[in-house]
Amino acid sequence: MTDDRADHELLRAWRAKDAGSGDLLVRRHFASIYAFLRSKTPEHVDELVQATFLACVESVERIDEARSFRAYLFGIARRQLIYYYRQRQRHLDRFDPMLESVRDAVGSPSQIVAIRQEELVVLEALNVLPLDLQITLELHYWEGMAVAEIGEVLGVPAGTVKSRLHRARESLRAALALVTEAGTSDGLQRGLAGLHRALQPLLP
Amino acid sequence: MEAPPRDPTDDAIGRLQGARPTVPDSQTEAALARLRSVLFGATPRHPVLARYPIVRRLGEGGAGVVYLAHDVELDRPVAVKFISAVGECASAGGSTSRERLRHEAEAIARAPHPNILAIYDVGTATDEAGKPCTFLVLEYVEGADLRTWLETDHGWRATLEIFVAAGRGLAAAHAAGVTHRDFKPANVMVGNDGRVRVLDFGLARTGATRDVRRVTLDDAVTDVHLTEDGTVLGTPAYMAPEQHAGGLATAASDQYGFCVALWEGLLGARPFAGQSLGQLAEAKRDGVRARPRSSPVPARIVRALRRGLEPSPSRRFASMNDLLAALVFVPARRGRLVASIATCAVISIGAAAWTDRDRRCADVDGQSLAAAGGVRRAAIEAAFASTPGEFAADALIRLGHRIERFDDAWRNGYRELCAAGPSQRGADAFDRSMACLRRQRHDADAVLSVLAQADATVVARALEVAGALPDPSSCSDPAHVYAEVAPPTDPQIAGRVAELRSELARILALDAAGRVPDALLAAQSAADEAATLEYPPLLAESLDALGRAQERTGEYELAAATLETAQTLAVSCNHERIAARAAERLVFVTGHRLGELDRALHWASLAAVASERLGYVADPAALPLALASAYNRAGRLGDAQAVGREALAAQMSLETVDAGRLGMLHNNLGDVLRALGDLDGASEHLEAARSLFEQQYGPDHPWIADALNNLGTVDLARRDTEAAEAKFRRVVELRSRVLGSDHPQLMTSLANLANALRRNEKYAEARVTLDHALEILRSHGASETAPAVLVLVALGRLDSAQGDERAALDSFDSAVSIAESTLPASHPDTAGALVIRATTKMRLGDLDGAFHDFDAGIAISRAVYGAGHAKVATSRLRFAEDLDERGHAARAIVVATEARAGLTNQAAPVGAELEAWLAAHTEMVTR
Repeated sequence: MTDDRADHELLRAWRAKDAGSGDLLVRRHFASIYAFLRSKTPEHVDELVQATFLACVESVERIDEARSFRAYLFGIARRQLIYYYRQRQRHLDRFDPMLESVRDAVGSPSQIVAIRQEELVVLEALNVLPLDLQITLELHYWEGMAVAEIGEVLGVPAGTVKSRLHRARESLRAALALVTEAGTSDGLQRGLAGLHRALQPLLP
Repeated sequence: MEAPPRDPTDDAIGRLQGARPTVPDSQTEAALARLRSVLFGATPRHPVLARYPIVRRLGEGGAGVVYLAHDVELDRPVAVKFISAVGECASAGGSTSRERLRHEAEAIARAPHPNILAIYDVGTATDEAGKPCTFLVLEYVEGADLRTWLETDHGWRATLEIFVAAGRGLAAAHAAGVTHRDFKPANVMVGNDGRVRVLDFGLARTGATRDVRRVTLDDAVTDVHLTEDGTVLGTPAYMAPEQHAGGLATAASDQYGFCVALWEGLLGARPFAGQSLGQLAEAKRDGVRARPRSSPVPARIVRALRRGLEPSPSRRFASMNDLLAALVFVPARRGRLVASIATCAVISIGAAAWTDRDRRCADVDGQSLAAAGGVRRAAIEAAFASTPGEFAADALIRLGHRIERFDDAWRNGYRELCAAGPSQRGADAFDRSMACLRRQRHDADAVLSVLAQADATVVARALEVAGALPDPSSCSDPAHVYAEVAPPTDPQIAGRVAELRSELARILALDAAGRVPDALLAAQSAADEAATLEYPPLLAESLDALGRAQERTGEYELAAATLETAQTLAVSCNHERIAARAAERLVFVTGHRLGELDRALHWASLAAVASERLGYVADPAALPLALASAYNRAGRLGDAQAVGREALAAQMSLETVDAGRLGMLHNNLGDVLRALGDLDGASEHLEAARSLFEQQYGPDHPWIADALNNLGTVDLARRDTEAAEAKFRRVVELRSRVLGSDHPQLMTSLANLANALRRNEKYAEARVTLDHALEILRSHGASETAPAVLVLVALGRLDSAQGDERAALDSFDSAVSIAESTLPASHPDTAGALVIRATTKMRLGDLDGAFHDFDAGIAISRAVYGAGHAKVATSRLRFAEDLDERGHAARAIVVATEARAGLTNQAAPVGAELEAWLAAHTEMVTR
């Protein structure tokens, strides 16, 4: 099901009411967005994926062709996530993606998702990081995005992404060490709480 | 799309790369199928607004159902208004209702104003039956409607304020050619933020289209409710007689409805009673019923309301604005300042709108600073070239980089904004960002105009002046642009406001450049002019600038009073940026300059509140720096140290660390540590300051001289007078190079160097140094009095060290008389001169004169530093030592005992010194 036409060509066709092109564009990016949202909110992934693509459909006329369509999609997915976490936390407007992590918002979702032990450990460590640091790492290392494209997702300049990437790697290292060390889930819970506190001063 | 290389040494990243979650294909496919059916297959049962997920139902208004929703794209709460419940578009009125909603949207869009509920978006969703369903996305306001608000008695003044704000919303709509037609308390929101907004322009019709909606009996039956006393509730009660008659509704009809509502709000009952629509209409034709006798509402206001309630539209006020002017008493120009401060809440609420809606995106090169910069650049280069010394050349290069950096950032911001356009960012956000960029462009030009007239003083501070350049990236930050108060509606006033704002930017640059008298003069006239404009937020900004300039001239009480007015005014205008800024400055003025710690702490808490409400901190170092100075002054060195360290940590954790700011924090912390006696810690921080200043401003910048000067003082405290001499020498060298060798600011440095030379017994060189200082003093007259006092004191000390107490007394006499006649009443330099003269008088045998001077000096020190401050104790101890040396042992012990008793912080280094001195001397006496 590969189609070599670029995203923006599909987008233009879609705007011209060619639903087939829209379908193609959705299928092209679905797996990445799905995996991205699922690792953070497995139980509501359907809702969020739908909301993400619906928002895309709704504003299809306004999407900037000069920018990466993929970054645009991830940007919406991120905002849907933040909105979702705010709902979860029941204090609307409080979830700050540079301060708070998936773990703060929903506890530990990754156990439901991960299949391998190693995957679980890494996901646990990622979920401790503030959401935007987690996203920065995932987009860079899993999606192979360059800093400029990540910047489009997060709405910050490339330089900021660079420094965040650096900080995110440091934080991940610390988190991994702790998660690996803690081993059992009980110790893990305690350790992560402590780590999260310890990481706070590193954040802006 | 390059895959980032896996670094084998980096285990964490390797593990991360290997742990990409795998989702089973079957799961992905199933989820994709669900999504595709949503997107392309069967229509959803209800119109789901993906961009605006609905949170809850807020209620039903006259024109539709309103929901609280969240704008996922702009990340803010919004109100979404449908013609009926979601999913029932088709059944509720069809195209007529949609038409009405469109009308509402157009009407509001034509009159954007802070007192009109903003409309963000108009959209169409499809319901179950595939029928289009129009919805409005409106500004979401937490608060109560005015009808509910009026159920509590707020007093007539507060009620009038709220109504006047709503009236300004109506006036703005009228100015845009829109009549509301249905003004009533239920159609006004009083936000928890204090802002008043008129809503529900659903019945409004634009222009002079003849209205088809006549009030028929059917309407009356559904709308009119009768209360026990027979007063009519509901829309007809607020209708003008011409509307009852089915005539054309005009702005005058809105004025009528407004007056009915205000009469009710102020006097507690409607002006007309009627059992039916007919009776009501008749009552309105007959005229207003008598006002309640006991009401405190001024007759002037009731008179204005009666005029607004005239049955004939032509007898009412010519416009809403005329009515509002009659309601809000505007005094003559003389009392203008106080009056506008008192009424800011009213005016500011009504004053603003984002009228700067020029959305044209011109060629960025034509817009940017560089376009106008050619002329400026030549002027700046010429000004710098005429300044002697290598420093100017280095400063010019660094300055060029700063300006370039601003220009690049500005162009990027402009390009990005224009590329995104109003549709992508949202029209409101676009307008705000554009206004922000335009303003910054003007501010930057004003800053450059100061640099273009640079003299040696300004060149020396060129990089601090450049620090007054704004940060264009803040214009794309919603937190910044949404925190700004809106400009005034009236385009003429808006033009004047924009000009004055550029002038304020120039004043701040003058202030940063050290051109104090110019800054003061300009700030004074800016404040005068701002007071005549009906736009109090600008007055708050001007008073903030004026207060700063007054502080520089040493008028501390005056400065504090001005800043307090600015702060209070800013708070009442919701101008949080200025509220925070003025409060921060007040912490410094009251705490450090006036030595009133309690007052400073009060302002510190208000500064924090304002920052909290503002949503961002413009300069995270400002408040801690001021607070640490306040603690320092109060002798609470421990607290000063704690705040200083905290501020330093906070600054270092910032994403982009400002080396200059960081240096200043190190410098001040070092100074506190020196006072605490932690000389190692002090040197460490002062050295850090020096190297940061060097990194930021180049090797010859005056601030490096400041850090060196403090380091020299540490050396003196260590009694390492050789090291101190070397540093002070370098300070003199640096400052002469930057300022020229006959600059008044050189006098202090020369006095310090002379003192170090004297202590190293290099009397001849010390005298040459002081002669140089006296030369400057003579050529500049008494214009620089504070340094003159220091120079004369240093001269007296030198005379005294060389054994000529008579000559010393002459110098000290001159120092004291200059200090007493020109410095503010309680100045530490006056105290220093008096105390040192006391010693000389004592040595000359004038013990009474000595005690007289000493007591006067100590009284000032106590006033300046607080009675228990270590400096007071140190002065007393030194005097006791001198007394003892001259054979007045008993008096010496009395003075030293007073010193010990008065010292608050017994742990201060002087405490131990006093203990030792007293132990040695009382023992000797008792023996």
